[in-house]
Amino acid sequence: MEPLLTVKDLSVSFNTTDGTVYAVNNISFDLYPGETLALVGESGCGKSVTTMSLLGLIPKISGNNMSGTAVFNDGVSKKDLLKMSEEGIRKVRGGQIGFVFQDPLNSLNPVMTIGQQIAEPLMEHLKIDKNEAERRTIELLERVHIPDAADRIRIYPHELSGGMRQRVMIAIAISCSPKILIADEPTTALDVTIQAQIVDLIENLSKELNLSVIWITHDLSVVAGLADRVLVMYAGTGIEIAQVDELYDYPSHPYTRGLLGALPNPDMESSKRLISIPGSPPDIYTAPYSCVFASRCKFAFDLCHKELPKLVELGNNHQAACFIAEQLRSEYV
Amino acid sequence: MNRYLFNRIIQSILVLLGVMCLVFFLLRIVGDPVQMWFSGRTREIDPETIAEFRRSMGFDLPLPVQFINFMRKAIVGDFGNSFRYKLPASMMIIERIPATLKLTSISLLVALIVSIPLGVMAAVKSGGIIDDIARTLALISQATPTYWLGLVLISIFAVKLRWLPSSGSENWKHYILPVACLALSSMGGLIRLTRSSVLEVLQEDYVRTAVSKGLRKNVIYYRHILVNAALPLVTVIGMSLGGLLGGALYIETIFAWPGMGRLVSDAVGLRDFPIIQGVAFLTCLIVVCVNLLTDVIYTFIDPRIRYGD
Ligand SMILES: Nc1ncnc2c1ncn2[C@@H]1O[C@H](COP(=O)(O)OP(=O)(O)OP(=O)(O)O)[C@@H](O)[C@H]1O
Ligand code: SF4
Ligand SMILES: [Mg+2]
Repeated sequence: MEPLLTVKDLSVSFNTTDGTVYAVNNISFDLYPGETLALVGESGCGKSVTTMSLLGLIPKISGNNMSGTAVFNDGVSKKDLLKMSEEGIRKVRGGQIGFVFQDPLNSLNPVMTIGQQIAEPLMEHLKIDKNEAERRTIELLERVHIPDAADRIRIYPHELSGGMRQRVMIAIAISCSPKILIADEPTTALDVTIQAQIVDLIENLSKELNLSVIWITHDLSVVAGLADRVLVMYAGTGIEIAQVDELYDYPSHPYTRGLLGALPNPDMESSKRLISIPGSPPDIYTAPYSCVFASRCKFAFDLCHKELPKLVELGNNHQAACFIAEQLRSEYV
Repeated sequence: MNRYLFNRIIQSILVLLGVMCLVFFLLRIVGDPVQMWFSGRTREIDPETIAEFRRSMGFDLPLPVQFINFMRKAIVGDFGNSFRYKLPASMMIIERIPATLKLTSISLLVALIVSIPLGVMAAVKSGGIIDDIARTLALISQATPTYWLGLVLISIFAVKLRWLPSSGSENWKHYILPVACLALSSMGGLIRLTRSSVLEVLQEDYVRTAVSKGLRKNVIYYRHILVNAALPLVTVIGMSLGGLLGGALYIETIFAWPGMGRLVSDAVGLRDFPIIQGVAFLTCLIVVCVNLLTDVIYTFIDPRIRYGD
């Protein structure tokens, strides 16, 4: 099967008063139709920047740099999202790729009704009139299981709970039948009970609508249930990518092993779910020239401090960026 | 009617009552109105005339009684007769209100037409040339005293260049200098506020959502950014009218503008109490009404207040 999206060597750096921030460095991944790919990593590792750059949401100010390619195959033609015109990428946003953000409380415009906010992309991308848009808005609200949809279109965001607002965000994101849904930590700000509902909702929608989902999270434990494949990120680089079972059973990068080792036992309180790898991520004011994990890795040796390990194929579509990944992988056999 | 507006109306009435008390007592603290009215006369005035004046104006009664009489009349808009012109103060003031309102509202309009687009552009392209211009203009506006600016403009455009008249209000040419002064004086705050509130809204998550929906730039600016940025502006526009009315006091005096400002500055010179009290009260009334109006407008833009309690 051909990938829907092929990201290759994506790098993003920001110009800040403290110096250049190398937020994303040579990330590559494929996204296949209908699959859910999880982007996992600690806070600040570049997950959001990676996906925002796909939609041209990175501020275009001098000093900010973006390179690489992100080829989107809409079935008719292939186009590089990173090189599209402003007008071209605008049509992709909301039309081909929907976005759900972390904080539903602030993600909706407080002075517009939720109906207006859902109808906006419908009228913009599908060129339909107000009445048709209203009809579809009600359908969409029913799709995301908001009761009394016909009445609810006239209410304002502050009248809804966090979970309901996130449902509205999801309705907006899927309104124009996109090919890809990017969910950037969509449940982090919600109550635990609501979290599960939102996860279920997105999973079901992705099946019904044959959506490809990029699911961003820093919580490996939620990934198992929902992702087909996982890309683990560390300090702006992709360090391991594999099918979800493969990754859980045979983690082959020391960082992934650390993350999985730090996962809570089933009988442990979920509040103890902490990443317990000693040390902290390196600063990202220099472009990586050696292994980004070297300062915290218990396997580190000379080479790790001198050279940047490339992603190596370990079989089974499992890749890891570590000089000893093959040894680590072979330990499992 | 909703609860919020009801509360605001009650508040406004209380404010006006408070203002009336202040007007009455503050002026009494300054001194005895009768003494002050007759002081500084070159001709000796016989005590009998003074006593007669005191009696006829009711200033011989105990202070609390005077206060109650004052309030009773003030509530229906009667501030007594001007000492000097022997005409009802309210009538004299009301005659002057249109000139002042014309001057201040045109000035406010000019200030808004300049400040809002400038503030928005300064925020959108922050750090650019327009931002520099906006900040410089705001600084000049806030650092320049209105009366000084008025004198400078007169000496340049009326005295030296003879392009514009320096006094009166007959035609549009008479408006240019006073309007320029007043508009410039209230621009600074408006530019700064527009700029900062647009900058703040630009950071909001819902703007990112609007962009990620693939909306057109104009739609994002007008429907999502400007409407939200306008919320704090509406309130401040209402409040800056108070500042403008205060500024009009100087400007009307300098430009011989036949409005309330000049009336009251003349009245202060003559210590014509009823006029001073009437103008103070009516100015407050205007400010309170405008603030109430901005609150009504606010509830129309912001649904959180419309439905909140
Ligand atoms: N506009 C920007 N200007 C400068 N630096 C930025 C900008 N946006 C992001 N960064 C930096 O890039 C790095 C990656 O940020 P990113 O938001 O992608 O992290 P993340 O993995 O999504 O983290 P989180 O889990 O906290 O959301 C961070 O160090 C961040 O400070
Ligand atoms: S390359 Fe070296 S430092 Fe990096 S993860 Fe592998 S062993 Fe550790
Ligand atoms: Mg993020």
